[in-house]
Amino acid sequence: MDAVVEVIELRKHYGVSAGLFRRQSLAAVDGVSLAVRSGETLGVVGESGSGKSTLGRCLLRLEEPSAGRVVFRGTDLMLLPGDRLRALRRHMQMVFQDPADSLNPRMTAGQTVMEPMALHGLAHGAAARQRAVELFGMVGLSDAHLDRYPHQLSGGQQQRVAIARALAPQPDFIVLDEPTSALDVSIQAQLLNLLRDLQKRLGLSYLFISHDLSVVQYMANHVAVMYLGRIIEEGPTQDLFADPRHPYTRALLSAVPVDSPGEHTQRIVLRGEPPSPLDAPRGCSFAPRCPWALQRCYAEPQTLQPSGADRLAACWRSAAGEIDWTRPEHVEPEA
Amino acid sequence: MGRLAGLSYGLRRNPITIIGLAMLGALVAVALLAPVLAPYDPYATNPAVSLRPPGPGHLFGTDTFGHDIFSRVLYGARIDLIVAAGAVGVAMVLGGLLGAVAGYTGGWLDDGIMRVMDMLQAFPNFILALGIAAALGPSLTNLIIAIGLTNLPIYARLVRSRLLTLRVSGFALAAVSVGNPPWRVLLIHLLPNSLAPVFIQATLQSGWAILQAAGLSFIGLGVRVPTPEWGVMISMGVQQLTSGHWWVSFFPGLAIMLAVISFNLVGDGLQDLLDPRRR
Amino acid sequence: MTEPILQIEDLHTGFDTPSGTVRVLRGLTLAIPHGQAVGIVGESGSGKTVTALSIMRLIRPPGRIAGGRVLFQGRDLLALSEQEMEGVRGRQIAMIFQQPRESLNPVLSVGTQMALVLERHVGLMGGAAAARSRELLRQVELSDSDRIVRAYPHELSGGMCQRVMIALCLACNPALLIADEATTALDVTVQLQILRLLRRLQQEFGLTLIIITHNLGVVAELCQWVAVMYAGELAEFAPAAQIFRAPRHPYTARLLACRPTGATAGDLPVIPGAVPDLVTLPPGCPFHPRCHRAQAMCSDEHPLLAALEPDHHVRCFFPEEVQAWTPSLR
Repeated sequence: MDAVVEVIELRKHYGVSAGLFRRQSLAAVDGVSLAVRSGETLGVVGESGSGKSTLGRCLLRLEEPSAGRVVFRGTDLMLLPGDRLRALRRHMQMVFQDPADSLNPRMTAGQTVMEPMALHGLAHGAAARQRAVELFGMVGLSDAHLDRYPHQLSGGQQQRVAIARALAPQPDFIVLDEPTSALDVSIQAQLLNLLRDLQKRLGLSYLFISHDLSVVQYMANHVAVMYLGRIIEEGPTQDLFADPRHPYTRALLSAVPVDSPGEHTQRIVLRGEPPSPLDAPRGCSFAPRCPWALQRCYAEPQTLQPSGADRLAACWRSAAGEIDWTRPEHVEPEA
Repeated sequence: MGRLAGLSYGLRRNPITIIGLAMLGALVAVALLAPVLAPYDPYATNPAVSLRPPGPGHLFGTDTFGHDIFSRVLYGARIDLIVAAGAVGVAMVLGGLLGAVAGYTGGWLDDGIMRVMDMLQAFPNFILALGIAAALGPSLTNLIIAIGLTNLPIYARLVRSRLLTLRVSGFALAAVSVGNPPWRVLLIHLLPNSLAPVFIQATLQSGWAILQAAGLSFIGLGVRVPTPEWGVMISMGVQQLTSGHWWVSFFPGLAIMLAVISFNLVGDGLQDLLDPRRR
Repeated sequence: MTEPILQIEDLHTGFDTPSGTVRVLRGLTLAIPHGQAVGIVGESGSGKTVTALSIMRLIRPPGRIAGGRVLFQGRDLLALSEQEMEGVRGRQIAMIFQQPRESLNPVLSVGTQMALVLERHVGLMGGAAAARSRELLRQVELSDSDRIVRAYPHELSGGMCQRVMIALCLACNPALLIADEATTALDVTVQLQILRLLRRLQQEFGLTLIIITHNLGVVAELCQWVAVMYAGELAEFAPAAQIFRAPRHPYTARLLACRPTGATAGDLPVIPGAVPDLVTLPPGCPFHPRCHRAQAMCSDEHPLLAALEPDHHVRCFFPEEVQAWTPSLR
């Protein structure tokens, strides 16, 4: 398999104070392994607190992972000293969720886009400006936008500037962290088309992080579903959406409100809400909400296991083929 | 919306700020034009006109040595504005940099810097300035240093807290991800975006600096008699208060009051103008 | 259409800014049928939230309601004194917001907050208030009511806080509940729970719901009627089934089409450009610069809201044909 980026057993723990003198460790990312294939998009789906954004930032070492490895085209990012890491960053870029927050309010759009070129010695002066004009054309902005400040641009335009900035150092790989969730639906469609178009033209690889399943389904070739810091299911997008193997994925899919009435044949209404990573259950972290959990699920978590061609799922019962998806069972844990 | 249009709109909704700006402008003009405006040499003594009450010849009267108080109040604006600007400048630059380093790096450096700031702030402000001024000896430069050092923690805290927020903002992460080294992230991206509250604080603090300068000079730890400094002038008139020569202390006191008020009005106005939440 | 419980007539709300008055609502007219759930959808700047705040008369300076009427059970809310309005707010019309935790008092336990509301608005005290609190919490499906009553807002999850907010609203038995992006901040699995709850309350108590959201799916899930807003006015108003099956306003049609769905291959259909700036609105129909059906007259004349069918109102000179739309666009 031709992978641009490979993540191996990545962990990110935060120390949190629990009471006056006690400190507790919170596992935001808890042993995640994945690979982004060249020229493809890997979608990472999860709800709030699933650790998907932390994963994205750790992957670029914008946050320091606690353990694990990130390998970019054969180079282990974790072993690189600061200056070599900065040089490598040329090839790995990121687009953030909130475009207004991700642009320096005191820099014009042009300055923002030209900065990475100067930092990596790619272009200076007139050449840099020429290149910025080109990039603006690519992302659907005009030359007139070069001298605007972020507050003079709409949300959609701001995000286009952020995309142009990410493209400026000519990267191979871009982490897109909820790039459209702060934008209106009509603007979202424009940007999704743009991102897909850029990927085709420039041969980019994406890690696309989102809570919006339909957006991920549209963008991604492969999908990894995260719950409480772990990947609980992974597979090719169409297969995974057509036939989810983990109860959580199935519930998540069935919970998406749709605007064509009658699309959901069966809905799984989960109990409760995702637990805090601070008191994650001992067994499978989804067990307390799972309609099909058994005593075993509460006792011990299942790891990702192959589940058919190119598919992985972390579920005891699904692996054993025991689940009748049409019939929730709801087993309470023994005291 | 143009910045100027926004500014003029903000000012129109806030006439008090305009008054403050006018007062401050007048103060600066007086300081600059003191040699032109003053009818007498502020250092010239004339025993013949000792302790004259305010009147046509001497607008604000004269003191024991026959100094013209009006001329001395005008010259005083120079010295007190220099002290205020100098002290606030020292505090802002040093405090701002310390705060920036503390807020950006975090960890033990942050702890170390902030504990020193705690120690500085543990003393009552004026007592600390008094101690520093006494240790350094009375002079204009030392006065600036003393007041600057005592006000430094305010700026350190301000910049640090702002950087703690900015450090995790999207554009800080973006700056790192496009390949900025740490010093560039701090100096080019974060610091310029944390200056608005610093300037507001500096304006407000300038009024306090004048009060402190006058206070230290009043008790003999600032500039010395017979320098035309407002605090010095008040102290020179104190003995005369009981004998009914009120004008010797009154006019420099009035000048201090007006200066402090104008700084406060402008500072409050800036706060409204620069802080979008207050619009 | 059943008898309207709330009738908004020619409502104008604006905000004074340095660059002039921003007219956020420009003559909004809308009737909310009794006992039904009405979704108000629109993108940012469409005026949907300002509509809710105008109904509640919660517009604060520099904003102001410049004209129109808001008839609630026959009374014009805009003509009431502030004191009379306080009797309407919370008691007859209740509202829940996007950030439920911020709507709750952080230093009072849930039980205390409920007791305060019950005492002030309903006159229940002591044991009676406590019993009623538990009953209300059960109605919003918070089964562990003993624990919830003692809990403080920060100890509850977002979904639980929203349930508590709904329970507080129900305390006064309001006739109308306005939910402003009430499920937007929640995870989809929790959103589904809250939507189910709202639907149950609507059916059980005959509550009228106004659901303000940018999420068309939420509206499809819950609402019988849909009002689509664009640039401060109503673009389309019709029964939900009709809007989703055969939208007639080009904006609605494209808005529905441009969301990715499982079936989408190739490029998504888009609405070009961006939502207009309310200070410099284009002349004629505000949507014409982005509209795929626009013709010359659209840039000159302002279309009026017209009933294409008895219940289907559209503000467009050239509405979508019923057959022409559907699978081809999706």
